[in-house]
Amino acid sequence: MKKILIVDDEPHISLIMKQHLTKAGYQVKTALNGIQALQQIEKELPDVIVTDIQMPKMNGIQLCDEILLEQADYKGLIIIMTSRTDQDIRHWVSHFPKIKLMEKPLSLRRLTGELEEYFQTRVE
Amino acid sequence: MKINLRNEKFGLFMILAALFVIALIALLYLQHRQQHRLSSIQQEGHRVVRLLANMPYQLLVTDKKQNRILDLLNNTQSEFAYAAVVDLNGQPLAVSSSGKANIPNIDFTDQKSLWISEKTLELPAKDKTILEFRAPLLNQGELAGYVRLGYFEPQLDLTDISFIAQLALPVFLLVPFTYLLIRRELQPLKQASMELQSIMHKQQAGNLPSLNEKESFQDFMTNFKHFVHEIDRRFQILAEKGNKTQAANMALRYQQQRIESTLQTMPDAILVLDESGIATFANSKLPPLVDTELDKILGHKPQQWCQLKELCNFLAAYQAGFSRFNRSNELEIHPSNHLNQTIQVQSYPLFTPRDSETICGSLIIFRDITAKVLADQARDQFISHVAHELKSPLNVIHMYAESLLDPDLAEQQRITTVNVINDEVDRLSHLIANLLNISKIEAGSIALDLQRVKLNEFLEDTFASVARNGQYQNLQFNIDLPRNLPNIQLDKNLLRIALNNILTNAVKYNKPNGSVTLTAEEDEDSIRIKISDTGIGVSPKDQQHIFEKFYRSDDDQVTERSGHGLGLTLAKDIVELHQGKLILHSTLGSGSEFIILLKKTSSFLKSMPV
Repeated sequence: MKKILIVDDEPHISLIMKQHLTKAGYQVKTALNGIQALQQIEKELPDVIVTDIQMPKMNGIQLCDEILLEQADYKGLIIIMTSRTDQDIRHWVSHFPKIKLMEKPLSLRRLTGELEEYFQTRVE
Repeated sequence: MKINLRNEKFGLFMILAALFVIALIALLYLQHRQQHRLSSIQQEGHRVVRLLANMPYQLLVTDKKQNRILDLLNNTQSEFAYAAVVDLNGQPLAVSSSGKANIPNIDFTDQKSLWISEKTLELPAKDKTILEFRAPLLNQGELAGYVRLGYFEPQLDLTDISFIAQLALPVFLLVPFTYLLIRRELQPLKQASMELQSIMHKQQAGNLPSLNEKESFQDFMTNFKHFVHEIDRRFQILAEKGNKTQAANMALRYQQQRIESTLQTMPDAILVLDESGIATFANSKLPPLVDTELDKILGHKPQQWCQLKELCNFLAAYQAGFSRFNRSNELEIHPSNHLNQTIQVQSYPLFTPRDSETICGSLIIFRDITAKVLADQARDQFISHVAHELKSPLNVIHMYAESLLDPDLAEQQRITTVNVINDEVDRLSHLIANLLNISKIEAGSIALDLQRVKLNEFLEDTFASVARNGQYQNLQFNIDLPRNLPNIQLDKNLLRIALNNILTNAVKYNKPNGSVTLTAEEDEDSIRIKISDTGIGVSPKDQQHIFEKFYRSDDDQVTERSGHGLGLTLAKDIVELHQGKLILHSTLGSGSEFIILLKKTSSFLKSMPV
């Protein structure tokens, strides 16, 4: 079963995504911020990480930095949910093929579609 | 010409006077010499005649008339006339003559004398005077005759004429020389005198001074006196003018000082450069900004003291571009010693007062816009926060609404989803209401709707409403109010929001089985409303920022609870709008106590009848 880690400081968001993705057949775990997410990753490497940007303690960008620098074992995809459209993040993300941007408000169907596509291409 | 003529006469007179003096001196000199000669002849005559008289008679009187001794006397003196020995009758016994004169015959019979005597004899023929010395001549104790010795009286001796001429010539030459010298020396004096006169009569322009008949030196002295008088008068005028100028100068200096002190007290740093780019003025605010001393700035070009390269370039570029653009120009710098400061540098051209085309320098104003920059940053941050806080519930609503489209959704899940959407809409409207209230309060545009409020009722109602909402939270709600709290005048709706926000926080950040307590107390000058809880508490670090807009603690226990960081900001603003204070006492881990302190002395409460 494909493992997904959802990182968001908004419990309602994590909850609905967890419900939806569980229904779609994924094993879903949640974290409230980057620190909690890293703790989860240490325990078990997920296949895909879906993270918000603005979070207390450690934000989404810092989390990505940590994963890219420290978690060399992690081969999966990182989806960043962003409401920002500024060029800085787009430019930064363009250097990392592992990272994908999805704009808020996030559609659950689009998210599942994105995940399905990713797993299909990865299997191939 | 008159002057010259008079000078010529003077010169002639001088020459004549000099000649006269020379003649006089020569005459006196010759007379003196004649006198001297006469006296020396007299001395010699006496001496020689005595000598001859003392000689033995036989030596003088021999059988010949010619006598060697007497001949010896011949040619001893140029004035020598004769020497003779005569008997008592005057008949010559021995004679020696110079040949220039005959011996006058004198009969001595009537003129017997035993004394040496001196006589002056006139020689009528040769118009000469003879000095004759006589002495009695004794022979064997008896008077035997007389010795006669004759000398011509000395004449004016012109043999020294060449000596006199030698003496007279330099004296004579000295006269015109002295005259020329004096004339030369007097000429400037004369001119000075004329100039003095012309200076004195300057008012009568073109009126050249004319000389009167007075002596030039007197002239000069008169003119000089007038001149001194005139000078004195002018000095007085000058002194008066000087006083006036000094007064004007002082007034000017005072004005200048006033302008300088105005420039000094300006909050901005000011620099004035002249057209060649040299600093001519800088106020005391500038040196700390550019990290140097005032002395090093004044009188130098910016390149010599300016360490900030961009500022240096800016000043130089502006200088170079004078003729091209007459507009102000701007630059923002961060001083090397205060990197967190932002200084806006504005440069303006200075025009000469009379000609608005000619640039005579530049005025550079350094303004500390740190506060503005920080305010701009705070505003940007605020907008970003607001956007985030508004988008978060919208995202939730969007996702939950989308999930409702799922036909397989269980009924229970559908109800939960709708509730979540409802809660988020509530949250959103609450957030917007808070934002609006805060912005109104901060803009000062909110007007308090003051009503007489029964405090007991108001507190009980608000508390009951919060307790009702939190009834499933497994908390204990306590309210303990004095019975007779005063009726006070306040904005019921606003204060309810404040109290509600504090009470909701007390519920939200509580622990399971905790409690929320509302008490109130009244003393002479204040009413204290206390809201205490047994919740997670606030760390000392968070206490410093808890009332700031959008501030939320990093603490897990805080972040896992939803919130947008505006509730306490608004509560504090509302309490302060009622001229009160919102105080927090808290210990991390064991709960918080918020006190709303309303002062009775404030105009709101004081005027109220109980």
